[in-house]
Amino acid sequence: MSNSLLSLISKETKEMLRDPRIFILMIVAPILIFILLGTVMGYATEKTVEATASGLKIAVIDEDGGEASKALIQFLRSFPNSTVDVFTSYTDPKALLLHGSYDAALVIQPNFTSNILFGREAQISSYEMVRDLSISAGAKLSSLPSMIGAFQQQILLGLIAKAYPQFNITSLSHMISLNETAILGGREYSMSTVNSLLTGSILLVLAPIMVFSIGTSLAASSMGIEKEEKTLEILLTLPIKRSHVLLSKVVGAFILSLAGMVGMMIGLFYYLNSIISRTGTGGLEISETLSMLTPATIIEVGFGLLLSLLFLLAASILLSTLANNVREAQAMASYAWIPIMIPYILLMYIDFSQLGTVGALAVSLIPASTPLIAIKASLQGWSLPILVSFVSNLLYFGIILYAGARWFEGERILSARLSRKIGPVMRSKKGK
Amino acid sequence: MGETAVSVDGLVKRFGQKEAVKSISFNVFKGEIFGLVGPNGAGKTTTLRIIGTLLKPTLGRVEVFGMDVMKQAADVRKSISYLPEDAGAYPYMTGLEYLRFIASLYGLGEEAVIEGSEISGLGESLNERIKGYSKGMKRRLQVARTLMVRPKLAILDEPTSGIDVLYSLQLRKEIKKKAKEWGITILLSSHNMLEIEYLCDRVAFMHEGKIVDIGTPGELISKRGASNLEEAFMEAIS
Repeated sequence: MSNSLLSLISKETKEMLRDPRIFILMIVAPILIFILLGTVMGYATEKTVEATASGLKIAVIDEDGGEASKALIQFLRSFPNSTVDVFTSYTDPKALLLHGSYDAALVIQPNFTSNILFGREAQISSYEMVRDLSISAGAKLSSLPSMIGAFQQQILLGLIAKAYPQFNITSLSHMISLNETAILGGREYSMSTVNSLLTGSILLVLAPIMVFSIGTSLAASSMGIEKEEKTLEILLTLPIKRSHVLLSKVVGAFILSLAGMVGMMIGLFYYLNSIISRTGTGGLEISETLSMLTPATIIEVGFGLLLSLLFLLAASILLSTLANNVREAQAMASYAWIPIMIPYILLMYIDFSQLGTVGALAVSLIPASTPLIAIKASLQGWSLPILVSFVSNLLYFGIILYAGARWFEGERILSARLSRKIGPVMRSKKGK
Repeated sequence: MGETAVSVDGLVKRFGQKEAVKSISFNVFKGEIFGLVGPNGAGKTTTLRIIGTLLKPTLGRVEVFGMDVMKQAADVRKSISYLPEDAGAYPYMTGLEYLRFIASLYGLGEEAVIEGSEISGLGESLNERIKGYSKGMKRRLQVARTLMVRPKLAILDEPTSGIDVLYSLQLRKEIKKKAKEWGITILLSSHNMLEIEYLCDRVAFMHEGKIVDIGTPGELISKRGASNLEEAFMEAIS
């Protein structure tokens, strides 16, 4: 690598790192936002779990007074932290909720016990207090139907035990044991591992999108700064290859994108983990997810990410030569990569194999789709889309570099503006 | 007359329908300071940009030390140092870092940076970030950056614009001194007739894309019986 190219790359990275607009907004802020969001969401999740676990204060208006209604009251009292007050004569449930600080009021209808004993439908009316429109309030509301459902299950078990006294009631409740095995890409995995991968797949889709977003903004800013600070004219008369100007900006933005990506991944991992771990369902097992990927897939994904990022960086730099300043350059770059997100959004919802051969190959041809295609197709043992995606994206990168080098050699790089082009077109249309 | 440094022959530059430069021809000789004088829109900056390889001629031929600016642009850039009229520097570099960065692109070492520091006269301020520089300080840094690399040809578009009277005088002295000391050919443009008279060996009057006269300041003044260059220019375009 020539000394002048090294000097240019060093200049690019230093200027971007020192610019607070870039350093704070694109590298520090995303990490802080994710950590802050993770902390808030984690706290909210914890409070929701706590609210659910704190139990309900239930008023039971027992109009039946039979064995079954007494069994239900006893059952409800067996839940930790729940409080059950019984009213043996009719009381207005609405008044109890409004003035008695109850979470729910259950009205056990007359004949509840006899209906159960004779196998008929037994009626309970439930009134639940909605104190707030929050996830926490929703979680609390959903616990009463769960309690009634569990009671119904117990009744059924009791009836079965009565009919078949030789059965153990404890083993009856776990009568069927389901051993799940998932087959993915011709390999066997435990279902928990696949579930972990499905959870982690959010990261697999979000990570490239975020890297592209940071990278394109950085690349566009590096050219926007040249325009804003009026340094481009000097740069283009210096004894350096003009293609080196483009290349140094691509490399500089690439280095900082990687730094930004690491920071953002830490933030995102913290965000997801802080939500998942507080629900009591365990943490996000990234290592377990990654262990499912073969070394070849990891290399393909990594190389695909590199290739796509380099293409997008070069494209953003070229596009931002039409801007007047950093703000315009960033806006142009952000609009430009939105169409590229289409395959990522599409494949987050639908199965890759659902696209069919033509559809899969068409998606593989979309610029910057390589990392996603690499992971989706390799998990399904389908190598053609990966090959198509690599070849096409390599071609796009080659084309953009060639076009970039030609554009930087020309004189219009100094004067071309997108706004000037749009202006006359809009005016002429208006005139017609 | 010595060896030709810049040769402009029948140069035409059109931007769409507008003809900014209308078939001009002139030569700049090695070691001389040559000035382009004219009002806004005369075509001075366009001419300098073409010689500086930023723009391509529509018609005509421009050579710098025998190299065609169209066909040998990369080679031309090794011989020139260009100062645009509205030039900026990277705001988050210090003045010293900026001079080092430019020196490194010319393959030069610390000696050039020291010379640049002296030409700029910015002293301790060179250790501060350019973001905090005044317009005048930035201009002094740019003039220093242009000259410190000892180019064969320095192209200076309004070199002292934005600099106060005191530093303008200092900078003009520095430009003249370095041109003689290092044998730099200088092609400059200016609105300031005093500056032109002080600095230039020869001058071309430009008006509406054409060169209306060329000569030494003394010749141009005496030819028209004017008392100064400004009067001579007004006579030339009337």
